[in-house]
Amino acid sequence: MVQKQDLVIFNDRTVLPDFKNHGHTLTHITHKLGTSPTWLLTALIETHIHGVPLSLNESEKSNGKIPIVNKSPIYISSFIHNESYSEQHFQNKISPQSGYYILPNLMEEIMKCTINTHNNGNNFDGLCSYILKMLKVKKEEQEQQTTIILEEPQLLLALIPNLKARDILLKLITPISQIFQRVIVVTNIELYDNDATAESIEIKKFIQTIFYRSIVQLSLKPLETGRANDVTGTLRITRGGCASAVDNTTFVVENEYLYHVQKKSIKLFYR
Amino acid sequence: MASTTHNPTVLLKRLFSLKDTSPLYLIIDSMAQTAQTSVLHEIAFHTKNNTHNAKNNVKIIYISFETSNTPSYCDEFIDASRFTSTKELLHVLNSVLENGKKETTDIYRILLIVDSINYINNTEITEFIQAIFSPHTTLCVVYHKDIDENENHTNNPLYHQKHMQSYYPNTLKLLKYIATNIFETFPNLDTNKYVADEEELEACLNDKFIVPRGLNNYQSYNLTLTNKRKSGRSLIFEFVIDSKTHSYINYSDYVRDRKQDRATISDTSMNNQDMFNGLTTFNLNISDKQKRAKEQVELPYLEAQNFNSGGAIVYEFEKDDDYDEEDPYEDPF
Repeated sequence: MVQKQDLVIFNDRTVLPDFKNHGHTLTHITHKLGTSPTWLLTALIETHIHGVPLSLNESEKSNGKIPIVNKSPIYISSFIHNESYSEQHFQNKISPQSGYYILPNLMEEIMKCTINTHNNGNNFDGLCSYILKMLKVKKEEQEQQTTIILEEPQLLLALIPNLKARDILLKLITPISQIFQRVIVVTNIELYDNDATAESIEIKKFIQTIFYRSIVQLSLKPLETGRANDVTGTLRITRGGCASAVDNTTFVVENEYLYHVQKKSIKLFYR
Repeated sequence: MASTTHNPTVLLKRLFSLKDTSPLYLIIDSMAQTAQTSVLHEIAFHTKNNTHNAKNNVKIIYISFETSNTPSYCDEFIDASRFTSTKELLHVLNSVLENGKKETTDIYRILLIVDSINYINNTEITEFIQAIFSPHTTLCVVYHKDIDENENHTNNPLYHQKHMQSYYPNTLKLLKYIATNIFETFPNLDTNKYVADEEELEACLNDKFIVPRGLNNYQSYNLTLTNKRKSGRSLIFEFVIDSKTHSYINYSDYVRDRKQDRATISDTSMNNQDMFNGLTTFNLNISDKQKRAKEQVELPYLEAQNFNSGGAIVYEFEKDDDYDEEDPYEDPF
């Protein structure tokens, strides 16, 4: 029988950073083309709602009776997937009444804003305030312990000419991290080439800066030795650049797992 | 000479606790060991816990580009991301500094921490620093060396053509020139079992973005201090720091201790030369020269253990072997 291990990221055996101890946090997930992070995002959404990643290792059967520990919602906003894709995927795993909201594809929203306001990207401040306004409308003022998942925000660098990584970070990521207590940024690290074009440099800079701001980095990558029937890839948990454990009782436990994504279950085991 | 008799650890503690007047501290960090997980905590610890000088009452102002969380050690937090320009930030900063001086007369010094100077444009750096400089203010700026805008762009041939005429120094060079004390952080790879060397680390972080484990370890990291004297001379010291216990070890002492530790572990039986004394009338010990010569002797069959040769067959002909040199099919290999 294959040994399975629970996903643990912090020393208190939790998966997401604690609201009280860590304040506003940023979690960074990196992945490659062969290792989609959707299963991990599902696990993190479940953790936000129920306190544990239910879909991993068939830990508990989700028969609708599992208590909801966090009543504040979790928002999923993507620059790459449209609403129907996300709805289709997450509704298969998590009940839509649990308290997660899929926001409209932000790239489409930006395009709409661009067409409606004749803003060709030169006024990036206007686009950012449009997105922030949209997020604020969805989030209610009194909601405190909220989480947002931002998928592939670096795609904006390829969309808007002469846009700098610094602009996205200061005008979009920072305000978002002030609105929401937990921000999970997902980036594909194969989207840039070392070809020294302006876009590649800015994408690289964006990923590096996100690392500096993150409390924990979750890296998904395929097996280095090639393909295997019983392993999809590896998940490595490492401290982020902002992981200040000096005066904090909870800290990141670095670890590496092998994972296997199957049709109905995801199995994790230590490497 | 003063420098040779100087205790580097004492100097480091004096700098961390702001006992010496120093207008600009530059912290150069990298993804492998960020300032947030290392030096900033040490500076905050010593500044706040300095009991030697009662007058050394320091106010810490934190200018944040990267975090929304107010650090526990700071007295005032300024969110720099809300300002649209450096001038706007400077305007607010100057008013905060003025208010700070007026509010309390017993404040001896103000420490201004900028969590990432990379966000300030290269051409505005000098203006920014100059506007803050004052006798009672120490500016401590963090520079992420991985994210050097100018260095990155100079690799780009298009950028090079476009900006051929620009000879203005990049941000790091400017800061290094202006700073009075430079702290550069590195991970301690001696204790990291996941990374073999710096080359591997560089490849993992900058080319593949696969962050190895064991980095950003606040309990053991390396720090290089460049202390610029008033005479213009720079002194460079290397330390291994543990931020949990706040202990600082000179890197040379650290290397020596590690070597000794390794030697005691591996040579516990070999090193006991004293045990031969008094046993016989013969000298069973060997001198250092003899030991070196012994280590250089190439043992037989060492070549056979080298797998780089690609599995060649070594065959030596004997006198009875019948071998026809002209027949190609007679090749014994």
